[in-house]
Amino acid sequence: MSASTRDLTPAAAPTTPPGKTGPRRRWRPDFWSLVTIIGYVTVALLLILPLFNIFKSSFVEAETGRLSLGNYREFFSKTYYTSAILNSLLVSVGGTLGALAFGIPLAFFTARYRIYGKPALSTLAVLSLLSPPFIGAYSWVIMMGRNGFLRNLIASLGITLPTIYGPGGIILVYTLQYYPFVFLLTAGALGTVDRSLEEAAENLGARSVRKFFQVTLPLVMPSVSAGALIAFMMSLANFGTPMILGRSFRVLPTMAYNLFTSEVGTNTGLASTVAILLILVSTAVLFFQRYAAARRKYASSLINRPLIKRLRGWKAFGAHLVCYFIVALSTLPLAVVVYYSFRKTRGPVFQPGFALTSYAKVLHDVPKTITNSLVFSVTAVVLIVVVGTLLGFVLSRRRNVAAAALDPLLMIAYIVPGTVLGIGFIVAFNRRPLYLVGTAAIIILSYFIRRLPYSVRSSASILKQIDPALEEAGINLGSPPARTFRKVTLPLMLPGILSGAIMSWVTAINELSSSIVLYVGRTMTMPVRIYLSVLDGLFGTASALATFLLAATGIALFLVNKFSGLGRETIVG
Amino acid sequence: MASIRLEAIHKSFPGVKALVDISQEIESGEFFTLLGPSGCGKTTLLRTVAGFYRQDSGHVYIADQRVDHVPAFQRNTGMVFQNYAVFPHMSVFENVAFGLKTRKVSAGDIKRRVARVLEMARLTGYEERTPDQLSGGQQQRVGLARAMVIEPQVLLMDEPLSNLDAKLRVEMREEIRDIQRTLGTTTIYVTHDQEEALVISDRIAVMNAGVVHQVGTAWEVYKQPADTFVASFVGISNFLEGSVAASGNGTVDVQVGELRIKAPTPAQPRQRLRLAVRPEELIIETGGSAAAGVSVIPGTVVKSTFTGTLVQYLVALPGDLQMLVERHKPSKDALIAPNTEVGVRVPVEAVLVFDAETGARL
Repeated sequence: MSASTRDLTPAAAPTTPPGKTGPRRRWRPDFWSLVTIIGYVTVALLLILPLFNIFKSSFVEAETGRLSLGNYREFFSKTYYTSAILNSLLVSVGGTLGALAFGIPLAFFTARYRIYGKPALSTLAVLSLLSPPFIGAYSWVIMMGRNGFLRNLIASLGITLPTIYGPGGIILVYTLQYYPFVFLLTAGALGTVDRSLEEAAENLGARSVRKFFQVTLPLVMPSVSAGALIAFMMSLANFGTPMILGRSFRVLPTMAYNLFTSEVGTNTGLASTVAILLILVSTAVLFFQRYAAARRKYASSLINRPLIKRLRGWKAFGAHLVCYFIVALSTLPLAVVVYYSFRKTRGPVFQPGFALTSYAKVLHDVPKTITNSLVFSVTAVVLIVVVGTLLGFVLSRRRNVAAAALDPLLMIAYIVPGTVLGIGFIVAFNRRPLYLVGTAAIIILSYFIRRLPYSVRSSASILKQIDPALEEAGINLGSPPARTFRKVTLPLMLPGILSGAIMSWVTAINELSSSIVLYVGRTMTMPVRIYLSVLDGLFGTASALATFLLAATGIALFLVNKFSGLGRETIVG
Repeated sequence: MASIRLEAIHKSFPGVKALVDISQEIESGEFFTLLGPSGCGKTTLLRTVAGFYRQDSGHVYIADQRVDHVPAFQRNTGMVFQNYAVFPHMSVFENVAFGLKTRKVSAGDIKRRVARVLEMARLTGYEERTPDQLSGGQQQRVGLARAMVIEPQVLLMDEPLSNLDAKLRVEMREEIRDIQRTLGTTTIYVTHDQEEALVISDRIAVMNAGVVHQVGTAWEVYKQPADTFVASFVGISNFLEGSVAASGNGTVDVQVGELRIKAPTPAQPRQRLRLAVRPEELIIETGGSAAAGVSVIPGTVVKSTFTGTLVQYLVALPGDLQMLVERHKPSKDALIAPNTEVGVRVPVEAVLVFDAETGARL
């Protein structure tokens, strides 16, 4: 073809594409380079800078301002402080084990056997997972506190229940809130175990128990441990629950918060030390899980999808009982909150009968918190979606060092507990030119950076399912990269992005642990208001606000389900 | 070693009759193959014997014991799966030892027996490998060793070679056959590959739509197909439809459109028939005349395909009919170009005659 005579005409041999003149430079910053730079600026400003400040201030002595190991010495010399590490580990390990004990059976029964109402069970599990983080704690106080109705009811039968305050209650709440992580991940993995592997075990003589422990469970172990890791990290970082149920039982996040905000004289140095220790623990656990899971990864060919068996007799009864019990127990706190929001109140006291007094009070007293929550969360989500989608594209499509290094940097946000990030923000942004303390922006940015890694990862994984040849075709037809992304890739990603956005919104509107550190009177959000109401004993107000959040969460989940189904990916990120 | 007896087995899935009235005796030590297209019920039947499916009615006997209510893990059948089903989280040794451990065999015996079966499967030295370090053929040998080591009463193989490449498939089927001969384990083998079935089996059951059409040796199902389905599924057949025009002396003349073909049958006058002729039985010639007892059909070569061992000619016949003719060991001068006028000789004894209504062979 090149030998065609037409090639001899000089005009028909363009060496530069239209619109571009001159020789090609070595590095031409295009749109995606700009995005990469924005990614690095974001990480530097919102993660590295705050953490560095915390790190620095953990080495600064409170009285003298000198650099020293004094704070660490102080921390490790007093059991009052060191016990917080042990307490944190205790409730986190306890919550994780509880999550496994609830999540695995629920996953196994629903994935392998016919369970009636399976979609409802999943939806309720997800709802309890995404409900405002301390509603569980507060609801258990209503039920099982010193004068709780459940306690009184059972006491009338002559049984005294153990106290809900302290590690036991915290572990219970963690278990009920975080088992859905284990459930969703494990159920997803169980759905991809090739049927013939379990059949081979059975054929070779293994009974169901042996088959489960020697074949099925080891095969889904990477997913189980990923679920356990999330449960552990969430438990470790949880602030609201130990604040409400802990009393004198202190864990690292509550201790950091107390040291930082104490009215008796804040101790930023020591609070920073606690924060650093908290980060060290979660990093260690993260790497341990990564190490353990990396050695055991099994590609699944999935020729034979698992069968869903129908159980009969007492086996069917038992399986249903287990599933319904787990989900009912985790839904109970939500139901109680909704119920109490409609109870009549006078001041802090519940009266017999139903009324909308709590709602009226909320609308009258604190309408600003509602608008704050809505405005902050929506703004944050817009930022998360735009930046997250673009960075996800860079991560999955641009194969260069700069892009590859961005992913582990973003993961920092994953291991930094909200309380720690809040403290870091205050320390980092309390002087010019970055004076943000007390503004709405600081809360929005904290929502943004905490959820960004999930958004980046999910859009990267959505992109993996879109053939790069489609983009290449667009570019080949003369459309510049940015335009191709907008016209070709983005529309294909849209359903995934939309559900990711809604999930981000759900976490943002329910966020407490950063905003409790960052809020001032005029930037108070609903979760903060609920938390304060609970502390003040205003259960009616708290219930009404919590019900509002719960309803918003429920509607959001319904929408996600419409767009893409409540899959593992949308929840776990 | 054990015989298997299937008695009037029926099995339905929602909307499908998977097995219809299957009764079959499989002798001890026999290599018995279930052959049929996908969805014919062959795998369902195998899984029913394994205990993964429970038949709706009928009985399964293994070694004269009724096993209808014996759960899969107690049936002592060794199954080899299509996709190997080698446990990915266990080494080769652990995979093969799995069934022995569940049977509480002592550690020393496990070692000895695993070593022996691995040697037989030519896997000695691979004990500590994990499945992802093995090729497909090696994984399937692990699957076979794992099934054999428990000394099962029957060996069940569900398309064990279909995921392997063509050359390996041929090698492995010889190995499987040799191992089975040596150990004498009663084997049910499922495949959709008719060549594999012909080569490997003592007897073959040809199935379609949940029904067994014919049970017989390789020779029988190929040379004496019981009906048109078997004739079409096992090997290639040219089918022609017509009715009896004249009869006498053990042969009939069948009118197929404008053609007359002699066939060896005591059919009724005017009976509708379906004739089948294997391509390799036909003789193609570029000149010559009709001989007694031979039909010669005039035609035109449409396409010729050289496959190495033979040439296939597609020949257009009068009345919009076509026939496939094979010629083995062709010499270069004998190759016939498309559009050449030829004659196709149809030897009487090569014609298989079926009733056009029922499809059954006469």
